[in-house]
Amino acid sequence: MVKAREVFSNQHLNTIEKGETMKKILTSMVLVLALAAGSTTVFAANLKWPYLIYPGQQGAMEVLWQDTTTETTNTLCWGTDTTYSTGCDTNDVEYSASTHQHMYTISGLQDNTTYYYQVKDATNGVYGSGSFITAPSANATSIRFLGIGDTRSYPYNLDGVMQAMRNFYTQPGNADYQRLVIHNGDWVSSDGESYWTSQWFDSTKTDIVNFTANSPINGCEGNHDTSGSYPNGTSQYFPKYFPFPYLHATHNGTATTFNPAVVQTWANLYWSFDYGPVHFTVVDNYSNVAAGSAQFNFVQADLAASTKPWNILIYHEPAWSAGSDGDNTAVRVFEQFLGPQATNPQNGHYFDLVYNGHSHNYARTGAYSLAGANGDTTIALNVPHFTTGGGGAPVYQPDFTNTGSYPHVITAWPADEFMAFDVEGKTLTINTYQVNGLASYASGSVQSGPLPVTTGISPIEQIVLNHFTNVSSQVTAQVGNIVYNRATRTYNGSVTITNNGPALTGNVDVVLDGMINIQGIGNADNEYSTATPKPTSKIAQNTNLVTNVTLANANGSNNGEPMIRATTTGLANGASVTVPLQFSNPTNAKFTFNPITYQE
Amino acid sequence: MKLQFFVIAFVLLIAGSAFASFSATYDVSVDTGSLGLSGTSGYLYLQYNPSTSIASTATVSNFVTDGTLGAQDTVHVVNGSAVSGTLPGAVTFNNTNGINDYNHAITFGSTLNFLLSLSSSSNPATTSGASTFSLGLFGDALGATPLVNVSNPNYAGTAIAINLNDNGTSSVTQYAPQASATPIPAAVYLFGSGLMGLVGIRRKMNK
Repeated sequence: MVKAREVFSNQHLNTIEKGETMKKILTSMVLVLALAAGSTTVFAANLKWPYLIYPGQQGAMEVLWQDTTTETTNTLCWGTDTTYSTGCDTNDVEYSASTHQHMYTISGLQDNTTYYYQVKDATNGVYGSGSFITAPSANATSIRFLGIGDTRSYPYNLDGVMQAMRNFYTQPGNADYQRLVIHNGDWVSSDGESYWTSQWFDSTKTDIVNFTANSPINGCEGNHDTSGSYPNGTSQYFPKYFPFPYLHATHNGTATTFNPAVVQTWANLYWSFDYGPVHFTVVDNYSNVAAGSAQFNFVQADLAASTKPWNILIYHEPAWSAGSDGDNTAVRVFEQFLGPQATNPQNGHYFDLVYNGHSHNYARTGAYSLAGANGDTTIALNVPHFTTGGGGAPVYQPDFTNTGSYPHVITAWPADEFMAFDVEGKTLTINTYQVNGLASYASGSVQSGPLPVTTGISPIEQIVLNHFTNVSSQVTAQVGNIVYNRATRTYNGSVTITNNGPALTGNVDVVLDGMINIQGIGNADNEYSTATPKPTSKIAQNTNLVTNVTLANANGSNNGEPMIRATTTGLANGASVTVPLQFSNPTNAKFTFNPITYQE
Repeated sequence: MKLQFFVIAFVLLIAGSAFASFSATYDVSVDTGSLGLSGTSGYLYLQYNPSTSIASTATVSNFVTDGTLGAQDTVHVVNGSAVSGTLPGAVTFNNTNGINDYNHAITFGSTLNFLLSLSSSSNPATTSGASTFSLGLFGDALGATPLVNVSNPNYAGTAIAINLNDNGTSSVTQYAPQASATPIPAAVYLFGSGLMGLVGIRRKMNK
């Protein structure tokens, strides 16, 4: 019997002997305390500790675990504190008797509530415990969750990333991020039992144990979780361990009711779920997505039927990335989904962002205009396409050039990283963080000895998306008075907004389209770069965007472009407002932008 | 003969209009006496900066002052590569760079005056940008000592700014009430130019 807490204590004794700094010791102590607060305990009879998925049902949470032939009767109990007194299931809920695979969906839970649970066996004792936060009410307008991807191959790295993610949500004010994690695929390096056991369910990787016991992880399969190639890829063990509600699954080309207990070749593992104000549509990259296919029709209908204001498309292989794994042209078919019920008011698309992995780095690709896309009509404009592939797999160097196989790159960075999503009404804030302290693990060269002790996180970039109403068609905007101040070394100007249409009310904002100002950029840390010379900027080249000028008096942003509040009291018909602009332009470069006016 | 001159002047007006797709001319004056600058040494700091991709030029001409011009300062400008000419002669600014600036020492008198011609060879566009000519008055070459609009943190030292907008219009922002820019209608300006040219030709012929 090995307790997670003991594993950590031993690691930190070793660390002390190696003469690490006092800062690391203190960090470790904090980690131990944090883990003690919500730890799970792993027993020898427990092959796979209790972990969570969100089954897409309001008031429900699914707990999964696997034990051995020494089991007798397993019991799952839960409650709003660690007395686990709200409910118990004592029916030994095995979904695969031959492998002692257990799954139980706790239902009837209160919305937006923290629950604690424990799994134990009559003979073997406690297998593990954890906690979770239930989904918010269906009409909630705010929600937070985390994102990760490409966790395969190097469990030391994954352990470090999950350690950092857990540290992140245990910070004051961040507790809400525990509630859900989205995963974009390549969970392990190969779709085989041994890979899942050694890379995802290794009980010595205590940060993985603790993280997965306390946060449900929902997502899609990746190419490494699949056998065969598009459009005939199939998966056996991914759906066994992550049995999401695959309502359209097929086996050998025939529609077959999904049964996770049957380990066989499953295809068409696409599905969707609502979570508060967000709808997630999860695509199976390796089954047919071509126009007219069952999956294509499902995705189109699913997005069109969404009643949620925010819609996220999840699949593994990006339509556009910063490399170095190739882009997937088949999934570009989804970019053309447009319609009158579109949720993205800026471009008429049904989805607000695309969440991918596959290339092991962070990248944001996209285009703001057809001209900015160099005439490429296949990309949905004003939709950020995120690659977050730094979940533990060996880090890849991104291609920043925009001149070769990877067009439409805006920002990119090679690092172990994760993402944090924060929906607040009409605004979605997305932060990407580099996990520091994993440099020697990032290439996979170090995969033994004590687990990594991460040294905090650094921001890669912050992107804010707003569902404000574009009212540019009814206003006239005129930029002018661009005067350089030699004392302050700033360029000062103004934009005058005149309302030619119906009265605008409340907050009216102006976005300087064509210019990107990214919060978090500029704190470059090259520790994972293998390129020579190492990149010094996270902003890609040849973006057709103004990247070297900052709107110094911006008070917001939209999709990376700076935004400034024009008025808080609306604008009557015929009225004008002049908004001062102050720019930092250290290279004194010529710059232009297109002011777009929004009413909040 | 007089009628002949007027016909030629009219033809020159039409021809001039065709060459400049949009343009504007201003008579710019600064009452430096009212500003209390008479006898004060300082610098005239001129800029022509774009927030547009449409190419245009600004030309300062007919510069007159009862003060005394010193030397042009080419050291304390940010980028003078697209600026040509020296006061009191014509100075022409292209909006090629992010900033196109010109600095000239002066002992201020009670007034200064010049013509400003803004001109683009492109057609008016639907974009929202502009190129801005501005006149600044400073007590030092570096621009650290503004002499007008001192309390405005962003536009300290700037007396007036004149925009040539992408849509073909122009506009003036007075930062100091002692500075003014009076638009000269294009017809009057070109007609006058044509007349002046013809007068010159006539005199030459008479000689």
